[in-house]
Amino acid sequence: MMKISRRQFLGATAAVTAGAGLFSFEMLTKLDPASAAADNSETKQFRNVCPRNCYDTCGQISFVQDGMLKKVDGDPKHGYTNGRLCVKGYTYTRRVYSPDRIKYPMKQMPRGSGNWTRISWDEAMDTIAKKILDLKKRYGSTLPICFDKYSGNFGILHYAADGTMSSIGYTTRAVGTPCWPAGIDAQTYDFGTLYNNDPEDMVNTKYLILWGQNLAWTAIHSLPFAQKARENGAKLVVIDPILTSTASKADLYIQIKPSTDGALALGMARYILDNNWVDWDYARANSVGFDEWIDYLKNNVTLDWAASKTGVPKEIIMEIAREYATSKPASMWVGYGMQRHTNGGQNVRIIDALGVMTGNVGKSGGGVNYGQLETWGFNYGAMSYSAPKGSRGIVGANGKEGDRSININNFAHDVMAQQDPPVKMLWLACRNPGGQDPDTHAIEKMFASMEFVVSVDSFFNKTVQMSDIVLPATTHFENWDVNASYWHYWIGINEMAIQPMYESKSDLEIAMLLSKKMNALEAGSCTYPTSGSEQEWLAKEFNAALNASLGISNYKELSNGPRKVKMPPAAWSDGKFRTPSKKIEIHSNQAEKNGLPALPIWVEEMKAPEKYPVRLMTPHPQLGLHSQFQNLDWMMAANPEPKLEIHPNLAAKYGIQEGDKVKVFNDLGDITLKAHLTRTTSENVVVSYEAWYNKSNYNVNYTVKAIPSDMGKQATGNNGLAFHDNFVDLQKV
Amino acid sequence: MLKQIGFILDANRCLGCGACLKACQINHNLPPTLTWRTIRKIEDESSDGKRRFYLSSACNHCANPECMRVCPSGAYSKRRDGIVVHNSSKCMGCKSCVASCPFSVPKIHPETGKATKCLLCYDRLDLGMTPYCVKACPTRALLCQEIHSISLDQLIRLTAPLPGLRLTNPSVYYKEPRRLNY
Repeated sequence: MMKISRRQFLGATAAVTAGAGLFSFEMLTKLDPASAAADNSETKQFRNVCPRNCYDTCGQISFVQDGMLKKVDGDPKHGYTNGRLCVKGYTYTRRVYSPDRIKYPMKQMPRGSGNWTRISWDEAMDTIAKKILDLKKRYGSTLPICFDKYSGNFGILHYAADGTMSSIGYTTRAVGTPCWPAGIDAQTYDFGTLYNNDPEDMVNTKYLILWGQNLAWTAIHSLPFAQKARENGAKLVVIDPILTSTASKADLYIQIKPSTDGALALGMARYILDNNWVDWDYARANSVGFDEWIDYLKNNVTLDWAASKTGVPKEIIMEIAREYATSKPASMWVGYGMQRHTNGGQNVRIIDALGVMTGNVGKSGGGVNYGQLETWGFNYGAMSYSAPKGSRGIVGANGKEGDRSININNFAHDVMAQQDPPVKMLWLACRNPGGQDPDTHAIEKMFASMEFVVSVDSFFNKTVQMSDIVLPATTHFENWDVNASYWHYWIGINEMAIQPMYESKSDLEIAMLLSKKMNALEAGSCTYPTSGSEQEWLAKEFNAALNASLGISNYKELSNGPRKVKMPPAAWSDGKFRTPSKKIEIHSNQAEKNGLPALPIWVEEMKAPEKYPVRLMTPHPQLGLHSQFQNLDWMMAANPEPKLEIHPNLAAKYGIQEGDKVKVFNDLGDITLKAHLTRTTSENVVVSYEAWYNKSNYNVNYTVKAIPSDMGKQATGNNGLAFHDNFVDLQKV
Repeated sequence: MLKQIGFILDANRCLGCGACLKACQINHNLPPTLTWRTIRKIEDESSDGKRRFYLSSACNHCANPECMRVCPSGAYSKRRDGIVVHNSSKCMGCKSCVASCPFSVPKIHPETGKATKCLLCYDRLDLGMTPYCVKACPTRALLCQEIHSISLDQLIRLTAPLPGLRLTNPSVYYKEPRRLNY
């Protein structure tokens, strides 16, 4: 460690800060009802779970006084989040009581005009139900109705939105996941499914590689476990094209050329092989095709090649290869950013193979950790309703009629491409394609071609702006639910802490309300139940196996605290892999059948076209989650506008200086934003974080083409998106 | 030596996530325009490597508090455990402390017009609990303890940039951030 004098330290501080607090709030006091509530009445506490699309899925305690949510804190009984929240979690009072919240059902005439009128729930349901019945009559089926839902709220009862659609007939469904499918498929080909070690087990590792993973911003509660491991002597290595907050805490940070992660892993594998640090016993006993891959390494991979491909010096590759292979156990955490490339899934397969080669799979303190869905053993009763008798659908491979599925990752194109019958109506729940889908211009065009658009949301985001009717959604403090995480093993109940604000309703209530209306207009046109309290619905989501794994006999026991699903700390420690061969498939016939290499071999990354030489990366922000949170005035005050992070050398080429407005453009579109010169990014990569800023049309996806990643089809229905293979040029404005 | 409680921040752990600031603000019912904590992001580069780190800070509870010295109405006092307390019932809102604190800690409350600042949650400390900010820190970067009891070889002191102001002797320490070389 180098020594710095006090003066240098302060000099550095003063240079950048100059009084610029990260948080300086310029709002009026009286706009914060949470802090204005009376102080002398009894405070009630409720258990909640943050339902956002986040690794951490925090246990929360809400403090309610006079029916008002006064504050939200972490739940100390949650063994992974340990009574602490992130900054987003602490702003929930502001989200619930935001003056920008959608308060009532509203209609917009004409669509996109911003001319919103408050309507009653009855009018909203009547308009929607009549439209559904009208389309059904005109086209002979409900297929012209297209449903798109994803990660706005991962609560299990929110699958009622899916149920709404199944119960009116066969519809057109956006299928797949934009986030992580390439990596899921990679682990599915290799191990049979995605299944990570208990993240709390990270404390047992001796060596931790965070591969394209920025836990400081996206999984902050993992850091204490990683730090604990470091205190016990583990080394923390971060591999990322961007010097992230996480990287700034690492023992070793490796700035890799984007999309070349597989080449680095292959280089490491070759060096491990040359030095015979291979765990032959484990690899040969537990996998198929291992020696075939070893031959590939011998014949095709050299350290020099890996170094030139990745931009990582040979000595560094040798160092991390030696340390990773000889520190036992060693753990890798594969982030979702690194698989958002045209060779992303393949790169994850190579990293998987590296874990197998060193015998780190199935070990406590080891693992190639990506995510898990093992703890999600609910009944999904809220979504399981069949179409009314006589419904017409698309005849599937099994000869039965069913829904028509389209690709969630090419949504605009696929919706427009449907002919027989065309899509005429959209229903959007927990989803903001206007903000999050690639090629925003195409999305705008597609929305404009619709007859009718319904969205369920809490804020007037880009998707709502393009809707005919918006239905106000409850926040998770205003409805019952239960939540699991795709990372840790805890499950928590989400109690209704306050009455729904204004006229907001949950997806479940909306499903029941619409069914009532549909059946009143045309008996038998919707099979969804029309009654039942949320708690009754919640009870139906639990089954004996789930209860046993949580050590409870009734879901109500979760009101005493979240429970951890009983599973061994190390995934795959039983050696029972779920591939067709029941072993780790280094050679995967399934992959080959899907037109992919059978082996985890190098697949060339996408290169920048001549016309657009700069890569635009659009990672997840710190103060928001996709299009959530950043729009709140508290966050807007802390981070008022987006910035383009650009390397000083690249900036110099374009004559761009700190604070200059820069137009970022390609064939699809452009965005204009202020430049921030920083060496945290590399010379040919500019960075702007995806987010929805309030009252702003800023959206990184105007330039993002819907290029599929290599994998995703096998397990999730559709390939993922190569969000980070996005190339642009720059111009000083 | 007198007892002195103060903050210690491990700059290698602090991620600038803002949880401390928000937890402090919410639990002390501060209006949205007022925070007792600030977070500064620092990026610098020298021949020794690049650094990107964050400093979360609040009142430094100085050994020789300038606020207390200049306050004409005696609103400031220093407890036996070193915490600098501000008594708002004595405060006249004259802003002397606001102008004189070398760290710009005291701020004027927009509703009362009086000075206000971090009191190190002394009421919680008296009950054996930790301050809200320390409790909220997800990475355990922020600690609060008796500062004379700790070994200082790995810690550096925060002082004001002007030599004269060093006299206040702030009771806050930082574990210095590493530099990365690549």
